[in-house]
Amino acid sequence: MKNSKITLDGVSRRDFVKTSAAVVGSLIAAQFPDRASAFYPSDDAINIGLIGCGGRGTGAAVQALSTSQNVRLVAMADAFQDQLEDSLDNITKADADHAEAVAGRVDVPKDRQFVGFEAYKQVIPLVDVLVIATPPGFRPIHFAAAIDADKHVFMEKPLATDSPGIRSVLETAQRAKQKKLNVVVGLQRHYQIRYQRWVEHLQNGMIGDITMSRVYWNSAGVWVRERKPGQTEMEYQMRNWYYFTWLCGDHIVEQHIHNIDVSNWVKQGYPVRAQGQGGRLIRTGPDHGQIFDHHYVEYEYEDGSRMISQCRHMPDCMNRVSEAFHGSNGVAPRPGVIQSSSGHTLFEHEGKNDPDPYQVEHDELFAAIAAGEYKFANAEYGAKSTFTAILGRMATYSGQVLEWDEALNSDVSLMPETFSFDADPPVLPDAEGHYPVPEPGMSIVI
Amino acid sequence: MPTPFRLTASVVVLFQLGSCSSSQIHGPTSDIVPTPRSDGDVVDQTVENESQEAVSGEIVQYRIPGSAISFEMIVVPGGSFKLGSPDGTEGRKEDEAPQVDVTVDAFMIGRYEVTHDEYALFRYVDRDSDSTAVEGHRMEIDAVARPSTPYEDPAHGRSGRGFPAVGMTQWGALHYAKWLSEKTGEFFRIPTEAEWELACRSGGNGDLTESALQEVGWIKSNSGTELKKVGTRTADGLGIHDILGNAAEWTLDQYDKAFYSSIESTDGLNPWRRPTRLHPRTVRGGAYDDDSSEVRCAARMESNLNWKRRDPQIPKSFWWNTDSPFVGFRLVRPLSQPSTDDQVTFWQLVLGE
Repeated sequence: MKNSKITLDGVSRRDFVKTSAAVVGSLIAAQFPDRASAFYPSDDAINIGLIGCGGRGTGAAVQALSTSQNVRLVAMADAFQDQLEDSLDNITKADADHAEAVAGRVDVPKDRQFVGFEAYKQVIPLVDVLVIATPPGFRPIHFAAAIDADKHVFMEKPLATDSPGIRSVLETAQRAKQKKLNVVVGLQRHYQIRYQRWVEHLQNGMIGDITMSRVYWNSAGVWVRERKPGQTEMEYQMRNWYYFTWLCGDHIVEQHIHNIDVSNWVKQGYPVRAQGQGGRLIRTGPDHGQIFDHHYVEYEYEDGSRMISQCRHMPDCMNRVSEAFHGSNGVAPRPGVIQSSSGHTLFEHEGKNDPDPYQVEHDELFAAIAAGEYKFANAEYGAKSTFTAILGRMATYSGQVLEWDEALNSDVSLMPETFSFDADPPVLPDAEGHYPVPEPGMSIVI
Repeated sequence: MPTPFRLTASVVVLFQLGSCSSSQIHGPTSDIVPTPRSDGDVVDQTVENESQEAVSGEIVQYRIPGSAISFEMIVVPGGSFKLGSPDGTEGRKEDEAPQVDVTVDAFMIGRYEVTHDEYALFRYVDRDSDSTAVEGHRMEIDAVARPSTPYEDPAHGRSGRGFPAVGMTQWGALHYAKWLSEKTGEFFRIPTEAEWELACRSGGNGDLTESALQEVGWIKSNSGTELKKVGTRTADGLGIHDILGNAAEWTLDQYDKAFYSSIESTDGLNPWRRPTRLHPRTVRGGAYDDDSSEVRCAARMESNLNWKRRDPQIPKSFWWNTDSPFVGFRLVRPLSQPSTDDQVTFWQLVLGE
């Protein structure tokens, strides 16, 4: 596996991959200092660093460690010490379901645990692969730093929260391609057999031209973290990040991206414009920051077909997390099912024993890295599907019809000037603790 | 087996219910029928009946204090029966053997699986009224352990009024029973495998043809592979709905393939395979997406980790599975209610408190 962790400034990875991986791997390993392995006793392990140690980051790290490759978690970073420690405890817990899979693969002593806004910078040089699961607002920064340092990346969706962030990710994605660095994005439906087969049939015209997509993420919502005494405003927002648009993107971006992305995947393209409506009806307290609890968006693709998107975070309403497609010759009413216009089943995927797509995405990424192969460039579609969701949010916040190109080129940045727990975040509460909420018809989004 | 039988005034015994004409429904003696106040409020009044006999098929209605939601329980008389299936039974699996003689005390069992409506009272704190007290005991509403917000939708879109609550872990089912017990002052839990199988057999479901099964249960061949609302098939001989098919049901037991042979050397009284680890636990009754061979009184399903496979977080949710939209639960209420101390011990044992 030596070849997997070679990180060479100024050496073309294309040349590297062209030749037999085994031969070149050992040659280059002999000739050049291997930056990551220089920190560890010489062995063949692929060294992994985790940036962002919440529940999802912890899950992703365990999945990376559960692959059949020779992998090792060696460094971790988070904004908060307690969160990092909890994560490490959960990864190494002796009675966890994954205990056997990760045994002997975790080596993160105190001096490789890093905390704060700059902690990611200390992890990057120590590893071969980065698992990035920080709040989405940070993704452009962390992704660029990883690719600048020639690291392979697994990163969670979404990939940014504003237009400048998306443009940054698209630019970094180009550099990752040039460097032939594998990048997998956690839009795990792309690694789920049910979706792979379903989408392939739809792309191949099983129901003709796709004339309408319907996509849904209607669910109860997510966690809320209450303000605690002694927290600065920045710390509070970082803890309760889901409810702040600069960190989360709003739930249309943070969760509903999964379903929007499936429509883009089936259509093999991205919308040209969007309009919609949304607001806050149930989730209106100070702990709910500024995001909406429902959005309804009509997107238009270049061929004139529409995507109808609903997302709602309200308990005990109709729940649906799904996608459906209508074609000129039939309908795909739910993932894995395709019917003709007369209701005859054309395709049905059983799938009860399909593998866990969250595991598959890591299995495939680490197999490629171990073999010295360049196989995954998910960042571009990840960024464009993220931007599709952001465009929807811009439409519901503003109440306007928004064009893709114009919105993507917007210079409106949601991010803070300074990343520090003493600095002011970009939105601040009023005297009653309420945050500014978008007002359709009034709010400027681009 | 006369048992002191405590009923709060939130209990109403029903005499007749149209859809269970085949069941034997006995009207209770008037002294155990409390009279609800005309304004419908819950009365904190306890009535004891010293000569209560377990009457097969008797239906008792409970209203959940502080709400307008009620549920019904059906009396299953205790007794001895053969647990498991005999050699030659179609679809029989190894874990149904050997058949063993067991004896189970009388209990009541839910007429329906616990519904979405009932579970929502427990799930959402803002629906759970603090206004009721049982026997001077006031629940600390804020101290109740409640289900976390699930990732995606554990019911995969098949939830709402009248649907069985599904997708929770056994932990989530047990916590509901504990909450309800505290709220009502009655002891509810989920059934043991033996209790569940006795209830199933008592309703005359022991040996059903495919078409008879389709009459009482939603299974793969008649459901369109979709969860249905409770009580939309015919009741069984005891008046119980959906014990076979629709949502499968959590039991209290660790799944142990060799459980029945381990009972052979005991007196077979109230057998319960106590859990010592999280998986597998036993689920009974089969579901809307199962073939008829899996939907039998003797068939045993085991829970597994795969039911959480799309939970992307670690630690994974204690409360919800991502991929078991076919599992719910049914309550039982032992006619002989355990002492308060025994109840505390029980919850400690099953919830690791």
